[in-house]
Amino acid sequence: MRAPRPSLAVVAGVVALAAVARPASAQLPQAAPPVAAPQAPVVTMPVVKRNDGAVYPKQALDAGFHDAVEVPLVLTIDATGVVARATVEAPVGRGFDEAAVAAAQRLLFEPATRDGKPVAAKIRFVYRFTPPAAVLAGRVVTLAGDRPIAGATIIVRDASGWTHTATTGADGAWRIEGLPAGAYHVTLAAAGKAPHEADETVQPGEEESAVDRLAPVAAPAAPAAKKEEEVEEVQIRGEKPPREVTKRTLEQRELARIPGTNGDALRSLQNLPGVARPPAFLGLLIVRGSAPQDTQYFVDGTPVPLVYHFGGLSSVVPTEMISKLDFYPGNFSTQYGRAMGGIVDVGLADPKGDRIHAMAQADFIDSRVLVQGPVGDTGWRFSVGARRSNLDLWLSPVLQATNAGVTVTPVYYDYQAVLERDLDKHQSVRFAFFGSDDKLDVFLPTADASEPDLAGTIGSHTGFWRIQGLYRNRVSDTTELRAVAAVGQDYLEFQAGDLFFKLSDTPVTSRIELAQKIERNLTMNVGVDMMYAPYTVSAQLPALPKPGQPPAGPFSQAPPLQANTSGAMYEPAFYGELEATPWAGGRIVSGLRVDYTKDTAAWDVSPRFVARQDVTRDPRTTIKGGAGLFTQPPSPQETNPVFGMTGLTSNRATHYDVGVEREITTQIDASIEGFYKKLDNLVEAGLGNTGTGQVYGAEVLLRYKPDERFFGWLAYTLSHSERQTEPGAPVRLFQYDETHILTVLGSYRLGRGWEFGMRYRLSSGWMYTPDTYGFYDENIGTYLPLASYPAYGSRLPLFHALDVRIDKTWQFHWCARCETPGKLSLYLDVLNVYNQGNVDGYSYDYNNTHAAPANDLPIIPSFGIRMEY
Amino acid sequence: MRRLLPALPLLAFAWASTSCAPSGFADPTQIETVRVLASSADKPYAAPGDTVTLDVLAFDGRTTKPEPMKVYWLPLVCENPTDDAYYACFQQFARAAQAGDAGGAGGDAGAPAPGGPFALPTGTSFSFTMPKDAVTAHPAVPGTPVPYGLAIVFNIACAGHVQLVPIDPSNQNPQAVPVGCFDAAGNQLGPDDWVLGFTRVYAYDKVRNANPVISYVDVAGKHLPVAPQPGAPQIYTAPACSSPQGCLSMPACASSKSGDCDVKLGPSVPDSSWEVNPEQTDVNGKPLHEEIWVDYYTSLGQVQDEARLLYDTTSGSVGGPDKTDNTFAAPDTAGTGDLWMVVHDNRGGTSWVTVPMQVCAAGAAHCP
Repeated sequence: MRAPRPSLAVVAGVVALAAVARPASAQLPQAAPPVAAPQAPVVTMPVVKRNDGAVYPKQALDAGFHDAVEVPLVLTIDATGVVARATVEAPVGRGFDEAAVAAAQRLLFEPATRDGKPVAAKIRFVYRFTPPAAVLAGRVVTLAGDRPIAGATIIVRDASGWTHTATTGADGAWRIEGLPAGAYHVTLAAAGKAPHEADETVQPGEEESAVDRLAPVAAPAAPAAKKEEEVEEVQIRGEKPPREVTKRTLEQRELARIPGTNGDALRSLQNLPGVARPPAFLGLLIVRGSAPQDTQYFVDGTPVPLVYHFGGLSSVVPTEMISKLDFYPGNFSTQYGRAMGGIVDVGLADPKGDRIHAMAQADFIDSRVLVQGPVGDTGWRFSVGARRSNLDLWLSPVLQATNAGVTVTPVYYDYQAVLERDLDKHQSVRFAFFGSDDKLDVFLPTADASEPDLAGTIGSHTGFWRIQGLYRNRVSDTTELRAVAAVGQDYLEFQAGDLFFKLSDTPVTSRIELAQKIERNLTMNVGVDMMYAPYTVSAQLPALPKPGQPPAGPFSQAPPLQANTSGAMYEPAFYGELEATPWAGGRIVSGLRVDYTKDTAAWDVSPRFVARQDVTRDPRTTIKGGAGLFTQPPSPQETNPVFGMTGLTSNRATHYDVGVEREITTQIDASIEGFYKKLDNLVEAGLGNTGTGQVYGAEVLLRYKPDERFFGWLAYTLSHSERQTEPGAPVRLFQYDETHILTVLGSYRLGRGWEFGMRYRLSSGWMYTPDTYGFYDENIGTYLPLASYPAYGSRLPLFHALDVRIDKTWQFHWCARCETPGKLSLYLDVLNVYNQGNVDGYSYDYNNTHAAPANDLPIIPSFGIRMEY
Repeated sequence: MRRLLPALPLLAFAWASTSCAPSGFADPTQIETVRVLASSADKPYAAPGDTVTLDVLAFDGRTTKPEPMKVYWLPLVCENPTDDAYYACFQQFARAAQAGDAGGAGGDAGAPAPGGPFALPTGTSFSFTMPKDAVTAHPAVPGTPVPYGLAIVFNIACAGHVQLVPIDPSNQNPQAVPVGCFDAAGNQLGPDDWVLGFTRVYAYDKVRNANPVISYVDVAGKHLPVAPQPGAPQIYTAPACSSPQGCLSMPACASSKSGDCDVKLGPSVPDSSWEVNPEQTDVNGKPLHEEIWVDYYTSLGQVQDEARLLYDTTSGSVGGPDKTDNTFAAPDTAGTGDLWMVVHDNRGGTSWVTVPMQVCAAGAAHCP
């Protein structure tokens, strides 16, 4: 993978008297000593004051010419030291002459003098062009799971035997700069991994970048197979470059240690720029002012319906099973569709292959176990994990002991199993089974006068499972095939009083993508993204009020609507992208996605464009931008003839991004981005595709990448999100609009197994709708508020909270013969350390004449214990 | 399914929000202002063309009463408002006012003249005729098991007189209230002095619903008899204090210790009132029954819960009175007052019982 970068000029020049030519010196321009004739006046020659150098001409590089070249010039310098004229003494062509003259005209001199007075002079000046250096860089990750390998050693050897070495950081990245153009032999080695060697050729001024996937050291094999195993070497090179304007990747260490998240991977996403703080107990991801349902979630490319268990307490995939978390807040690749907001793609970790590993962890929230390792000598590796909530174990007894009069049994599970194998040095295959199940049963003997349906038996049951197959084949140096397919089930049930909803569907999804390198600087990606989901729905629910309109009363007041339908969602999509790196440091990705939606019987065409350009190399500075069209089909309930309406088409968003990224040091990155989203054709219940809106803002991220001691970042988002339900309706702020969102966090390893982390959050309050004294519903026996209009017209007070996490880890040997020590960890994660009474909303008295703030979570300490082997 | 799931946490959040109200608010069960406590139709599910009579239970709990409370009725019965929303009736009223229409379903008074006081019928009862086209005139709603019509009747409990309130033309709020309660000096009165209430009456061609029956009031295991009101069998009264059998009585509470003065009480509603709801099923397709609950109000003393569930839609009776009774605590001073138990079903059925009470002085030698 080539990434041309700007050529750096290496300038050599020689200043000489017109009468006395001097040989070109090495690197820097020098003024020649004055020549004084006997008895003549005292003369000094011009001395260089400023020399910006000359750039090795692009014309030559494009022509494949990268030799060192000298261009002699004759310069006429006036009495002020300015170059009045520059002429090429002996033209060499290929753009060198023009580059030399252009550079010479920017020279500044101390002027020549005669008897101390400045005078004009003519000198000979030589520019020496040497080809710009090249860069070799890359990332070393595990095969299949793409988990970064830290501490891997990279040795780069040129034809003369001169070597350069590098070591990968915590993110698996390495980089060697200042290399002369030419051929190199690259050797990669990492503990527990099969080493790999490759040959690379770099051009002047270009960067050769690759992702190397190392397979685990093959387990001892049966004698008959040993010979073959010994020579087996598995690696896939040439991962496609980023296709998005913004891709944020969180690594394992960050996922597990962010304070206030209880080590939960997906909750850590809520600390990134562009992500708003969700209301407590709601597992929502609000990305760049979009609705929560506008963001789509994947596990290794397979869409999943849920990412959080009940109440947003934890993710449906535990952190230990995740190798990385990719988050695209907007302008994402054409490989993703059916979403207008953002994309979250969770990568399941590949099982370890050296020996059996085990982990167990428990805290107040849940307990989990994980076992992984090789499957004998078969070459297969496995991991099996499961988790169960602990809430019911202590919450129900507490409620009974306190005579709360409420019986509640919230229970959730999730489970994962992975089986994978490297078929040969080019192919790998993986099978995964994962799922989640949440069940909540509540019995409330005390009716709520304002909503009697929320009494008696209230229950919900949600979940999903998937069986997934993932195949990757590096067919050749220029062709890679990746295919993922899954089948599973989603289910969602809830019941309250006489209301219920029951949905079951069986989604079959697949994505097949082919990456073909057409030329050195041009790669094409094409793919098919299929989704077919037969479903059945039974529902008995009240009619929903029109958007922006107050409800007609409590659920109980009207005859509910009934629906019993079955059908199939069928949403095939086709996409293609061209990735071009036409010049040094530049990358352009243009793509097109075409989606079909059976429910609307319509095609959506989504063109997208992304460009990146490195403007400086050391430290690297990149400007970037993109624009694209994103569509999202109406949800099933919106096209349901009972609860929705017919004739709908897809929601639509147009994303625009511009930004700058800069590597301040090897560990510290900074980025700033501006974004604008134009929303139209939004589905509004009972109205149709009448909704419009816009979101604009900026994001800043200053990040210290994980190293041996520390990781952390500062994220700030400025955002404005507004909606209009139909033409003529008032334009209002979106209910999840948060103007300012600031998150500062960090975690530091103190030594001796101690690690300390803090997170501070400061953000604008959410929007809410104030209520006042209104009406009395005599059928139900409750007051109904007079809601302010338009809805969500007021903002709650500022939110701020500090969270702290402390970890202590001990290493110990399980047995005398055990070579690898086990680990015992204790942690304390304290949410809202100074117990700030943040306002989540307002509660009203029975007739809505008095309001009192309803506070967010108080200080909550969470203890946990974890054992690993 | 991703696009469906947000509904679930929102439901949970709604429940959490309604269940965790902070303390410090006025107790809704203690009647210290002008309040409407209930309204009951003699035919909760009426047939088109039926005459329906509404009775309202209102009480003036103010300690000072510059003007007496009256219950006014808006004579324009609102028929099949848009989306069945009560506030959509205001548009009908505005149109009727502009047209000078005195009509409506059974309206028997003049249409309100905009911009000033107007004459409205008063009293605790109001009758109207369900339009014959109530069901057919209702817009067809997909998913409705049985076609229905809807009439909404508005009443106003007001310690003064009712007057139209001009609406700012720029106010697009569909809930903007078009009427207010004013005292003799023309001052608009606040929430303590007036209530704008409404009752929905559904019309079905064949489906009917009965108001719940109240068999007796359980008081710490003893049965306090109740009697239906002549002509309005859904309205019950327990014996008055002046009656030979005497009313509910108890000594004033001299103890400051919580629970010392608690008395368990509540209505007994027979299983026969737990009617099958033939038009609705549970998640497994089995027919559902009604949900029945009771709201509590009192003019003295204190009740623990504002409402208690009596019958669940699927599991039926929550239990006998020992499980469904509320807890009442007598005040620390002697006095007389009323306790009201309003029994609702979730199909518009409402009954209530008024329980007169006498609280004797603490330590009194004889407390009847």
